Amino acid sequence: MSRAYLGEFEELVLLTVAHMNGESYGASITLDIKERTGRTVILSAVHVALYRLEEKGLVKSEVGGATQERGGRRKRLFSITPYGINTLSEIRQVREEMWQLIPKPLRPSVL
Amino acid sequence: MKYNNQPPVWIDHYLRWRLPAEQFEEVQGDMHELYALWVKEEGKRKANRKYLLNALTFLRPLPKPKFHFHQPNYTYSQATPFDMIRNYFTIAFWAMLRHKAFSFLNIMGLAIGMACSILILLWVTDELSYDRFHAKASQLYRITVDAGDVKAAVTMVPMAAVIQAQIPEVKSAVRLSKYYTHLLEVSERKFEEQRLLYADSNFLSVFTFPLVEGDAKTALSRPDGILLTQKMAEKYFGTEPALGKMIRKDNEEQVRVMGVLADIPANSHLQFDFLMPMSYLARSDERLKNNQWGSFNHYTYLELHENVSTDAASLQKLNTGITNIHKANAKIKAEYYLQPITNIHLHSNFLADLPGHGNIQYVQILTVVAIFILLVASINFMNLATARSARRAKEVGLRKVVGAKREHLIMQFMGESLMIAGISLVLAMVFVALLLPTFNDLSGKQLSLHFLDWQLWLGVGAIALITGLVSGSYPALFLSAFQPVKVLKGTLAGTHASTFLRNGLVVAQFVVSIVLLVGTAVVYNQLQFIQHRNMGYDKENLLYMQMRGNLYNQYQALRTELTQNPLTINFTATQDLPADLHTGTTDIQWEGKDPNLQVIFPSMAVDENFIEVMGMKILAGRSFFKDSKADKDNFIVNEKALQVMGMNLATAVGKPFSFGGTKGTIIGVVKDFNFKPIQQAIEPLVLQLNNWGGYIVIRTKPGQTEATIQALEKISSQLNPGYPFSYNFLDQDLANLYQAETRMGHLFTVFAALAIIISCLGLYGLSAFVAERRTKEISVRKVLGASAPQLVSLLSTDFLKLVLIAFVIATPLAWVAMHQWLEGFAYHIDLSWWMFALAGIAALSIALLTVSYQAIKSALANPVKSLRNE
Repeated sequence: MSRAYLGEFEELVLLTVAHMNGESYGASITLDIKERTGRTVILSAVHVALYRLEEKGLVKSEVGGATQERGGRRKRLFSITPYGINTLSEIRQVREEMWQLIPKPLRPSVL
Repeated sequence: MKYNNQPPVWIDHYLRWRLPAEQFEEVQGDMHELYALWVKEEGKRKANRKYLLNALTFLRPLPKPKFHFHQPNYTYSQATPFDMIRNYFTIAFWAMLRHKAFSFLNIMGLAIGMACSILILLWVTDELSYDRFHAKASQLYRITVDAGDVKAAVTMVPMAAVIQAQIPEVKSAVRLSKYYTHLLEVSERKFEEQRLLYADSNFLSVFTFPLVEGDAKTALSRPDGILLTQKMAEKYFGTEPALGKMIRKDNEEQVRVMGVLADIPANSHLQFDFLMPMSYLARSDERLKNNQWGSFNHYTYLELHENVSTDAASLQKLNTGITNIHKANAKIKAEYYLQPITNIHLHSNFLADLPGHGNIQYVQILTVVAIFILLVASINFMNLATARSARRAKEVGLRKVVGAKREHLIMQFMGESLMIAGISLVLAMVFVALLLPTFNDLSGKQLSLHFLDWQLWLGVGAIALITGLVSGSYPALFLSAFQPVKVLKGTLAGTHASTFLRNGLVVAQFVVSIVLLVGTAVVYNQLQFIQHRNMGYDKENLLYMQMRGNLYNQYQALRTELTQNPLTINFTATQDLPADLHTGTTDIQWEGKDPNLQVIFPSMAVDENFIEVMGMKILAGRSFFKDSKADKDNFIVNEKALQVMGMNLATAVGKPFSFGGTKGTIIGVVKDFNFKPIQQAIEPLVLQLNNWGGYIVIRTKPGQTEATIQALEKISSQLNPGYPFSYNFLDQDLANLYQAETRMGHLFTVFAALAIIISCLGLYGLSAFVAERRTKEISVRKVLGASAPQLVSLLSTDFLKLVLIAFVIATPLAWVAMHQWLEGFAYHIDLSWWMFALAGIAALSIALLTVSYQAIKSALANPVKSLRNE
């Protein structure tokens, strides 16, 4: 098995990490996902996803960036690894291919 | 760092507990950041709710982040020792739950043992705490005197003043009288108070008895003043302030309340309700008035200067100084010794001392008993642990294979036993709290548990720690020594050595139990002996009344009245009761006395009826004649006195004899009778004809005691209307003399019973274990035709042999210990074989009952059940 399988929520988190570009940590990801999808996100779920992604080597993290509203506590900043980017694009490719297989009338019009 | 909108702290505490340390910081940071946002958007209340919800979801386990990505030094091989310790706890807990019955026996046994020890600890600390509450306790001494064969706690009147003037080390000297009984009256309410002491005016500056009302400096300065304790102030004046009020004394003069004392602590050897100045007593007491040397009748306490050294040599110097003062002033040969005030309660065996002292011997005995009971309880633990070692052997083997060192295993098992000791301690404290009132009744104390007292916790903690370490030591060493290969291969059998040790421990337990049982039997027998011993007179049906007030003036009228009533006709007037006689004189002369010989003869002043009414026996000569003027100078002596004087019965009567300055003749010899507690041998005694008051003793006719009391009350209230009538029975007084021994007997019984119970708990556990191990064997035997009784005896005899061995060991130990205790009594029972036999049979039958329960159970079990599951 060459590629890690991702859950739906994990994928969402991974995508967020990817687009936030080094400014992603627990709280910011929670807020971002909520803003974009409108669903209620529980912080612990985000953390679980992040640590699991790190375990799989899809993201890496470093510690830093304490701010006033965190009471001076440091953040763990996550950034996507090349392996993570690969995985994302592979997933996307698979999806694209599958979309192509769906008969036209069912496809929502994007144009 | 402070910032606004702090989320609830307790949730953060929960997070800290829940999360691994390395993830806590980042998660909490995120949580706080979001919280700040929620507060801004939705208000504090909603934010708090969300915060809680989010925090709760961290109950799920988080995947461990891969820290070696960014912190290359942090690896699992450096896991904290805490993880291992947590594992120990888990395993200990599981082991406990898996064998509920064994754990119950273990913890119960330990808890009972600890509860006993804690009770004894409380008792012993209380006994040792006497008189330490005085601020100057280390500088306070009491003078005691050693005059030949008599040691006394009293000194002569002028001694205190001379010591203070002549010995520079002494800061102050205080005299204290014996107890006086007075009739006190406030607004028509009268009480006869028996605990009134007279003291010198510096009493309150030397001793720490704080005043609640009044001024300590002047409280004892005016002769007609009186101090009373808070309890007494309440009794006489209720809630009104007592200070300055008047109290009428003995139906005559008024005395003024100069102060109210805080109630006297129970651990003070000085116990009193009222205090009056010595200067008041000096008005009527000739010796005090004239400051006479000659008779010993005051307690004298010295306060040394703070910088005076109190080592043996310096004290010896002080002793010599006081003795020299005595030599310069008094004729009697005597040596003086200072006794530290903190020693008085436990180390006093003096003539004419204040009553109610403890006994260091009993403190020692009970301490030993406490240690033994704790030992017995610890042995239970050891025994059960080693017996079950096979069950833990696999765990030990595995731990060793994985790399545990022996120290780790020792630590683990020690920790386990400490944990069980801790649980037992909690249970023990509950027992103690429940049993304390009963224990107080038995021991005559007012002990209480002060849960905020750190010393209590220190003591109790030490008990738990010692128990845990002692009881854990053997299993820890034993289990940790297993060889992993052997145990994992499953070849571990009950080793010979461990069986031997186990048996040894059971024997030790029963030795302790049997010794305690023998002790109980002996103590009770001695008490019986005391109660039923022939005292040399008939102590039954003796009613007495102390003469007070007008009875002295109406002495003749009283005698006439008593003689006229057939109920009271059998009476005698005597200065002293033959219960706990304190007086004695050295001023004695007889024909051919060695001039250097100094002997003390106690004396009693009695009337002509005394010998007949008391039921004593005249061996030679005669008793006093009624109204005989000539008998004023005549004496009756006892057999012991004859022996001391070197006379014999045939020739003694008619010999000249001089006593206390009175020259007279011996007119009779009375058979020896006890006039002191029977710890002391009968001493020489002189009887004189009574010409003053004391007690009226009446021998009541059987069945007419009530009527006699009424008759006496009528006479008393007629002749002496100012005093309430009160009476006592001589045999009750005698019984009270042996209160300490009676209490000791009760305590012995209780602790012997507990030692047996604890031993049996252990025995029960062991027999259950053996029965379980031999289930298959028993089943096979049964199938082959063994009967139930055969099987029961097979299982029981091994244990009963141990009890028999214990009996053989315990007998000489108990004999030595009890022999020593009995030596403390001048008159005592002889140890006889049946006391030992009784204890042995009791131990044996209790052990048999315990063991046979398991034996019968397994003998009656269906053999199919245990054989089928092969």
